[in-house]
Amino acid sequence: MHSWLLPCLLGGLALAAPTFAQDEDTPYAYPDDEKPEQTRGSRRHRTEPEEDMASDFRRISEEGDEEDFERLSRMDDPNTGVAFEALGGAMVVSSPRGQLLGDFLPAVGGRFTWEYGRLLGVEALRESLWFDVRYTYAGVREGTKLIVGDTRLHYATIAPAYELMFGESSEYGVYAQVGGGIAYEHTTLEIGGKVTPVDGVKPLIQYGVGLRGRTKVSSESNVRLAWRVELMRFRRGYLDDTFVGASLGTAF
Amino acid sequence: MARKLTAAALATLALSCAPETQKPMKVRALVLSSNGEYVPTEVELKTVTDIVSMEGQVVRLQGGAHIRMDSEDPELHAARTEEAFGRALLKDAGRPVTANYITDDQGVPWPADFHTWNLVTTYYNFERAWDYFTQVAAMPPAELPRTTAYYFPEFVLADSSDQPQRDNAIFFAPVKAFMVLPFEALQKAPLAINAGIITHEYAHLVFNRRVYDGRALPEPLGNWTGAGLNVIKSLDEGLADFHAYVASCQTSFGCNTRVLATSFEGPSVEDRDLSKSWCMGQELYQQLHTASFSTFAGREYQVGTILASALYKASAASAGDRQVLARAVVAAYSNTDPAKPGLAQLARMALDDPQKFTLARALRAIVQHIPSGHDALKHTVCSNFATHLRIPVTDLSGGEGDCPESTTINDCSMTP
Repeated sequence: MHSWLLPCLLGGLALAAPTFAQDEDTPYAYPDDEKPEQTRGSRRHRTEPEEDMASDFRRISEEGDEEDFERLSRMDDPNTGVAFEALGGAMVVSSPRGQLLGDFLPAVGGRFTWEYGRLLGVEALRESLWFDVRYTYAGVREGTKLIVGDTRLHYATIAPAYELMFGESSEYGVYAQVGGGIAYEHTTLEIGGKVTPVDGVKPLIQYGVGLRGRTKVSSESNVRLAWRVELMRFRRGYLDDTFVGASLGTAF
Repeated sequence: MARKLTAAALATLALSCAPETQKPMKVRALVLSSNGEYVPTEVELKTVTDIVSMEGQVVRLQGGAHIRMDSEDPELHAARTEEAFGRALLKDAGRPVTANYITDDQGVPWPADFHTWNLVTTYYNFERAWDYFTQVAAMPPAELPRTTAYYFPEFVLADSSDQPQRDNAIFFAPVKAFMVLPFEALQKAPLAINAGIITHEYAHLVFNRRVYDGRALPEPLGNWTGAGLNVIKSLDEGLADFHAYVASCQTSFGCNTRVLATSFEGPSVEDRDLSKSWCMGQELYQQLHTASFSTFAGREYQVGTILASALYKASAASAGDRQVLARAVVAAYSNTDPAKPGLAQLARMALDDPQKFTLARALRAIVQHIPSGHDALKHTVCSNFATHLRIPVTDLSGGEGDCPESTTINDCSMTP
């Protein structure tokens, strides 16, 4: 018994080696580790696991339909890169009465964002380059019962931005933004019931920084929660205003 | 294309600049019209050098200042000079204001918010007051250099309240500056928009410069307690009202005997109406001559109104009389001629004995400065002083015939 048992065990080990041998640093691969890449959380990989992307590409490329091929080239990121947000905060308006920080006014508005970096074909800039089309409103009513001024400030800007993402597939990033537009000022001076309107347009320069997020709200939808916290300066003609606020909206 | 873009960029930058300050500078301000309403009116600022920071030859508007007067303040106790005292009061000197304009098609800037309307009108009113004193009252412009006006400062009189003062415009000698305080209860015209009030305050500056030699802490105010202090404070208030009245005659509204009318209402306006025949009552006369100022405080306006009313009635007939009398009053503030010493000299002579600084002697100084050739005016002034302020004609004449023999005392019974 002992005379053939030892050779059999040694022989079994020798035969088994080619089947299970791995690098020392490589963990054993178990079936559970072999999930498809879609589950890693990247916004680039959110298609359904059942789809065979490679076969689609192969089929289209073999059939030579260029238009369909371009369409499918974006199937790994089905988002369009646009967002709509409502914003609110404090507009610290240049103080005519010389206050140190300015005059604090409540401000509201909205903006449309488009990630135009998607057009450039450079992966690193895909979501880092975008611009806002923004509208902000602030107003104040000051004076006495006899003489009162009602001032309304309307800011409209287009401002490109560069965002530094917190990671390759992060949903968050910090950004810097510079842009321009116009400010429409409208003041009605009311004296004893008689109204004198004063209005005009001034050039507007916008610049500032912020934190931007596009938080996924559902694994079954491409709709995301778009939000920002920002510190933005507006040079309104020769006056400087500062907006401190946040925004919330939807990104597609 | 590049040229067009460059031109567009330059145009944008040009538009981003503040309105260019010209001399004179056309701008819109709130001016009292002939029908008694404030109307946005195109005016010319002749002395402004920076239309955004509202700075010029007459005044420099400064925002965000903090001034605190507290008898417990160790900084005040440590101050040994007037300058140090002023610095101890001025906790924060603030910073320039920033006026906001929209320029119309003719290139005239319009204030684009309430405070800018207030600021521009404030500067305009100070310039009008300066113009009045240099042109009508014939003061040398060099005697009235640029003064700071703190716009909407935080002004605390800590001994009476920790709450900042409101609803006032004042000349505050300790910091040698004006203060336009924020309004709260005031619901009519803001004080700085009221040209009469600004002229009244500017007259306090002139009084300080001439009678107190521009001192932050004038000796008479520091040394005196009773009659002398009551008299000199009454003179300061009354003559300021008279100047405000004369200056108003150059405006589109015309001569205004009710300085406070557009900003206040009720008794506070009526009690300061110069057109009424106010007379010194016995009780007020006694208070003036015997009470300490802590008791008398507040009544200097009553005596002042009687004095201003007497001067108004003496000069209401013609612009010429008003000008002669305004010049005589300003000349009487200070005159080193021993034959007709001014108020400054009389106050100095009475520093150790304030009882010598009497209302009669001070008014005689004014009479003495009415130039010869204006006998009718002198007669009217003397008669009004004697009648309304109950000054014996002999005291007004000083035994030297300063008042004409024709001086009369008329019936007067309306006391404030």
